[in-house]
Amino acid sequence: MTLTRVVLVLAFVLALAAATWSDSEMMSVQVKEGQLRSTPSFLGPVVGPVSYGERVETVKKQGDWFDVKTSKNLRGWIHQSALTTKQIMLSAGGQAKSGASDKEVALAGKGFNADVEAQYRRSNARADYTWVDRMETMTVRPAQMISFLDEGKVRPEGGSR
Amino acid sequence: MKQRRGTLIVLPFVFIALLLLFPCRSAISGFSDVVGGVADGVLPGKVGSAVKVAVALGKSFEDITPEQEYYIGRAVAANVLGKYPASLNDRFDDYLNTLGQTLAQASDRPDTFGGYHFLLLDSPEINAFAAPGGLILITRGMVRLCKTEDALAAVLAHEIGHIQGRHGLKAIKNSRLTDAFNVAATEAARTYGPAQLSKLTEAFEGSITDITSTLMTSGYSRDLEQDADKGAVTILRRVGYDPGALVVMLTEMKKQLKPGGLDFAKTHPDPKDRIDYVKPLIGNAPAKPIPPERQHRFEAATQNL
Repeated sequence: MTLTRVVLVLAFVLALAAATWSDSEMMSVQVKEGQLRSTPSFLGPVVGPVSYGERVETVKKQGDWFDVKTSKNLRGWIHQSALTTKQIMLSAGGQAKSGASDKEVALAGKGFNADVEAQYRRSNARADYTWVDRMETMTVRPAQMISFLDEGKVRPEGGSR
Repeated sequence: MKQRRGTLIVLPFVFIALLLLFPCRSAISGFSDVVGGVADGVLPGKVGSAVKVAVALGKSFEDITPEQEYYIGRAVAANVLGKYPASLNDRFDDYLNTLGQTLAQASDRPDTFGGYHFLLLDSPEINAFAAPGGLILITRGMVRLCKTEDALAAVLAHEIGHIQGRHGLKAIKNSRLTDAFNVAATEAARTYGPAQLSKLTEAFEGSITDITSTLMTSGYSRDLEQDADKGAVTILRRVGYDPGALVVMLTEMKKQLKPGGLDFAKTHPDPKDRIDYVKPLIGNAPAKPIPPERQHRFEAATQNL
């Protein structure tokens, strides 16, 4: 009877551990500049930045958000749209690493890239990149978004903080 | 007897626990290998097999990485800006970006490679364009049609809906992508030789034409427009704007747009159809009154348009 109980408890603990562990996975940041937040929310305070190709270890998932750890021990929430299961190689050249297929690896800068854009611009003078570059400098910080909503009395679902 | 039954009951639990444990063990042990791989920065070899993989998989828009989508979006926006000049209005652009980027953060796809950015176009036409990856352009004519911040938010949220659904990329013909993926797969190096570069640029050029002609001439399918409207309702609700503002805007467009006109009317389904689709999504919630602070800042930002 006691033995049964011990086995039962052990099985429960194992199952629980497995359920928690099975969420752990290595993923890569697939955007130029990503942000880790302290809460799984679009207005959550930013804990720190993550950069393109950086590997993160997922700890758990809640809705569309992953709680992740970086190799620099930074921890926070990031939206799934910023992550890919693929490994992103930032520099070309060198020898092939065994065991990885194209499905698992993406080489940054492959395909349509800055060189292709430069070539395209040479033959398409009417395309106006001046304002495209200028647009990209127009960025809004999370703190500005929160005060913008507060000032306009816009009340987000779940509150603005 | 009783004890044996107990053990029998427990056995399946142990089995399930073991099953669950195995896959995650490998995930954890793979950690250091993977980090080492990033530092090396290499591409898996066997170019021949890579080609096969690319031909088999790399045929649809889904295989376009966010980084490539970024370059596509820049070119599409540059083409729109070649036709419609930017309006020089820093004050409004600041307001537009604060509103637009806040809305984008509440979408199902807040993170794109280069982020969301918004710009006012100097044109009396009633129009707005979403270039892949998050570059959104809106004409003066469209902004003037909006009487409230909620209405402008509804227009922007619809455009964000197109970006989150990657609708622009769906307009690219598969043949272009097959060409591009073939080159990308055969060439291991990141810098391409002149022949590969010109083949890639050709595929790129074709892709940009496919998207810009959809945005400016033919328009998206009704399904994709509904998808963008559905996305817009969700975004507005999450941020706290009145989703009913989308119906207000569509009603306004119905009044202003002339059938057979050259702008929004040409590339979008009849606003009446869209209203019929959107209304059930919103439900019967009464229109939210606009706080005076919000209306005041909207009027201040739009006064010189």
